[in-house]
Amino acid sequence: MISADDEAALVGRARAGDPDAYALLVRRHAPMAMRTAALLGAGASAEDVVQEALVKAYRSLDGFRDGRPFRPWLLRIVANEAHNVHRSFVRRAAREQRMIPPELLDPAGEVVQREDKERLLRAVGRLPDKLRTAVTCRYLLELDEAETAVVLGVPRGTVKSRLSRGLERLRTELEAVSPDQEAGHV
Amino acid sequence: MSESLEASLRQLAHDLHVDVPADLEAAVMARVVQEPASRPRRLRRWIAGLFLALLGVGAVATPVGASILEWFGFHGVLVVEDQPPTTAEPTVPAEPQGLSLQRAGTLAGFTPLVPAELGAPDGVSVSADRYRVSLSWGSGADTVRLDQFEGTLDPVFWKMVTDAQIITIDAGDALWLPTPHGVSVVADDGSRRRLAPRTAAPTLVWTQGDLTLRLEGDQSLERAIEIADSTD
Repeated sequence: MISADDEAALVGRARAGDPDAYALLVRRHAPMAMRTAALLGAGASAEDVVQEALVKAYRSLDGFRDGRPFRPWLLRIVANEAHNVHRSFVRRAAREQRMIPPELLDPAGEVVQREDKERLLRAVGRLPDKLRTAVTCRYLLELDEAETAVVLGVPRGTVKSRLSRGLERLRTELEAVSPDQEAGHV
Repeated sequence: MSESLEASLRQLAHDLHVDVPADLEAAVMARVVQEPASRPRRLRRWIAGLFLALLGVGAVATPVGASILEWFGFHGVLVVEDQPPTTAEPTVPAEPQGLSLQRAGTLAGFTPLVPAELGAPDGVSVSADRYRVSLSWGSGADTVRLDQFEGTLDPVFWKMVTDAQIITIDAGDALWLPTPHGVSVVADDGSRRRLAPRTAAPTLVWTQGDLTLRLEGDQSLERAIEIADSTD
């Protein structure tokens, strides 16, 4: 378990120019950073996105406010980078493309469950951007509301309302679309 | 399904696996060691200072409606009540031509958003402290401008209004200031000095991703929303 003090000390050392301290921060947060990039739609560019974000984060360490948690601060940089990449090559017309790749699903699951999960994954991917990112951060990345607010750079109240609208929309969609109908959609 | 949707999403999360590339850390560190430690960035925490400044110039520092915290949700824009209301004719300054969007993005460190409804801007500028990107379309009384900056708690604009309303657009909550109102821009050098106030045209303020956007022009709320919703 990483204590907050420990983390603050690492940030302090990295800021003072100690590369080993930063390497440790990178190692600790790389799994979540990759997950964030991949689930927020960076697709095949997730690795580039995370690499770029981690370099940018290093350059911006002075902007990190002491006493704040490091993880959401870093993930926000990752999310922005993912969003930028996303914007540069996926336009509205290609919305369907930017869904979370179902290959990320654990292949060991039962087939029936897997269909349900893929369906849910596609439904999340079809949400409007603002709702999709909120639902993804809160449920698929399992961040809490406060962290989600930091990562998305919006007020906490906005996170709450996007989450409730997002869930509402998912419910409606999942109830309305049977698997048969959906086949033609994809 | 419905009551267990959240549970299904959490279950889904556990079934999603994203690998960390083996050479990621090495690649990052190779780039990091080549550069000096992060360049210093000014801390811009002067909300208290601005409040004092407000009191100093005689404005009543009463947030319009709800709590001040809600207004701070619109990072970088501080709204206070003005007494008496502004009567001067609003002006919407256009930005100079010549700077490309790409260059502006490089200077400011973020990619400026452009509303599809307005298309490529006629003018682009970046503030001297590289904090704010301003785009403008048209000229004279028809000028529409869009200022944007990465959100922090620090006020960049502060506005004195008598009426303001919170509305909902695609991006979430937005603040609509329908009538001409005073607007001051915090000095580009980051000092606490304010630039001379001007009278602003109807303005829509919202946040998108980590940017705060401020759209100003002599237009209706419907048109402003159309433009805001086309910003992606």
